[in-house]
Amino acid sequence: MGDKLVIELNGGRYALDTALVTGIVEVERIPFLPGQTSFVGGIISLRGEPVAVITLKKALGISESTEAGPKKVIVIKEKNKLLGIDIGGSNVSFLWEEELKKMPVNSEQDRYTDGVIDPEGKKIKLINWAALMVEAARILSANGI
Amino acid sequence: MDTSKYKALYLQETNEHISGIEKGLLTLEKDPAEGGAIDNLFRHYHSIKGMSASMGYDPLTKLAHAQEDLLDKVRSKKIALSPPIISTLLECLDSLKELVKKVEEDSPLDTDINPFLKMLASISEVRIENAAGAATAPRVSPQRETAVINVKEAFTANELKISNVMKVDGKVFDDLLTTVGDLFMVLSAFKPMTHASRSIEFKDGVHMLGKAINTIHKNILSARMLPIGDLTQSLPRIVRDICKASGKEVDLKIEGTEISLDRSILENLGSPLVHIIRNAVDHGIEPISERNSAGKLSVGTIKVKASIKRDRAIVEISDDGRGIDIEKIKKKAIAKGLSGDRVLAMSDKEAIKLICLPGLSTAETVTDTSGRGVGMDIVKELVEGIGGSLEIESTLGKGTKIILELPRTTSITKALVVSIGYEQFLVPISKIEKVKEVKTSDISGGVLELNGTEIPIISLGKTLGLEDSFDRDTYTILIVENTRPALGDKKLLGLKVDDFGDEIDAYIKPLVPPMSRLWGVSGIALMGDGKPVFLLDIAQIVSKSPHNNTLAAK
Repeated sequence: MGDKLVIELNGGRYALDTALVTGIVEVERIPFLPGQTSFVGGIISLRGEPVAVITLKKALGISESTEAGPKKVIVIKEKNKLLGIDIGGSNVSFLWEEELKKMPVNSEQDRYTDGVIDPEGKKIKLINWAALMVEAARILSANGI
Repeated sequence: MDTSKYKALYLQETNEHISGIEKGLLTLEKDPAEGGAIDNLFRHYHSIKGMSASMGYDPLTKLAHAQEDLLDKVRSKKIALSPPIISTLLECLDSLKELVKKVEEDSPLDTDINPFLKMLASISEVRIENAAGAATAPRVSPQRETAVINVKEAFTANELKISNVMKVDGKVFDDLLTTVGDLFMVLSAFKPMTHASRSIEFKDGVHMLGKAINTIHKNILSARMLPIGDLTQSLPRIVRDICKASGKEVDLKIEGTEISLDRSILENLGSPLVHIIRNAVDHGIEPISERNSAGKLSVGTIKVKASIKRDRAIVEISDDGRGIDIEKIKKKAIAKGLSGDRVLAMSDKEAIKLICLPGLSTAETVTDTSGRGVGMDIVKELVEGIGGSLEIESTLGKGTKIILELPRTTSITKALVVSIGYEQFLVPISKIEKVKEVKTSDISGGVLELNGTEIPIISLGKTLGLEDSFDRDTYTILIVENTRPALGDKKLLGLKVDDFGDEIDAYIKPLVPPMSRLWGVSGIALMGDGKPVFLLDIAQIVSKSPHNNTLAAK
């Protein structure tokens, strides 16, 4: 299953494969991206490469507003595709593979989650990053604003 | 035919063949039984002969031909390979080298090749029965000895010289261009510092750095430029083949083949160009009987014309065929699910572009080459992917013209930094007619009057989807052409922004997924501080602005 990066959002917990994470950037403000609607939140750069950013709280339907102040952006990379995930000021922690081996995975799915693990009664939803990436591309390729 | 532009390629390839011959002859000298060596040698001579003939280098053609003849006799076992034959071929090779060197130096090809031709003819006559092993080289005339000595002398000092022409992998230039792009962005970070600095040395240093980067950039771009003729030279054959299959007759005219474009743009232009031409032959040009009934010449005409407009290349592909039936396109679009109200409200200029939607084609027949309803959408996507745009003009019964407007070079673009609220954008300088600072009160009813001309103003921020910035007393207006430059539409439009900054040489990165089809944007640059800033696609923004339909109707 691989190590997980766990994000705490408004009391809920969400996990991403650490293998996908290529960097975490802290920014004061995320510049605007033309055509940004829905959960697309702007653009940043990581190591000389531009990265489109989505707001995780908006994508998961946790909050419709954008927080002011410094934000953490987790940048994931799959092949040549980069995507930034704005987690606001949320805390992150890790869950190692050894611990995960002991935990059953529930196949409960949501639009952008594709499973749930339940360590010590605290549900952690597994983020379906591929679905997020596809939807971000769809939003950004809408022809005109 | 002017062959001078192919000289560098000729020299590069001929020198490669000469090296191959030398290596092959030496291998054969050590091991006459080496399988395949003679075939390889034969190919090298044959290539030199063919290329030299195309370039009009007669002595080289004749000498290569005579050596090829000798090898042919060896290959067909009419004569046996012997050390004297190898020696003769090596001596003749020196003569070939001398001639190639003269080509390189633009000297007259006055080497007397007759002694070598005689020597080759003479050794060709040594029959197999007396050539094997014990064969001796034919007697050599004193004249021939002098010629050989002269060639040897000419080459003694140059044996280890290498050609001035280098074969370099295209990727090396891609990487160099990326590095220069990074340097430009470093420079753009230094430039504002020079405004604040009092150090003359620092200012001079940044100035010198800028000059050096510009020179490197210019040289790299020049090395990457190729004439459009390199791409269009295969078109006559393609048109011939399609005509043959369809029973049509087409006269293909190509103009402006000397216009040069960056290699990567030219590479990506090939597929759209071929598709447009195939469409023109298959669906544009009518069958001969139909043309005759319409009072047209039996032979249709397709014209490819390249020209330069400012820093852009315009490639027009026109035919005198049946044209596009706009009403048919509209009906098809509605049948495919587009809103009827929307389609019927479209001007002809807008409706004709519907053929670029996936699955929309008015072609009644599907051929091997086009008419499957896939194509123009891909053509448009490919052209836009290289920073270009596509326009279509058509008159029913008279023909169709497809106009491609393309950047000539990639990557580095002169752009103006503009700001809207906290956001910054880049606008290509080539798209700006004028920059004017105005008071809010100067804009009345969304129109600015400038030198007696009424210019509609749109908010760039709102068009891009930005929320309104704070009210200001003054704004900056970027006056741009109302898109479609290739159509000669000269109407102007003003884009309202809050402020403008420096003009910079921006290194533009292509947009990659998930941003690869971002509306209103043609690329992205990272500023000196690492901040990403979008280069705006002004033509796209203006064409889709709410004012544009009103303007087009005026």
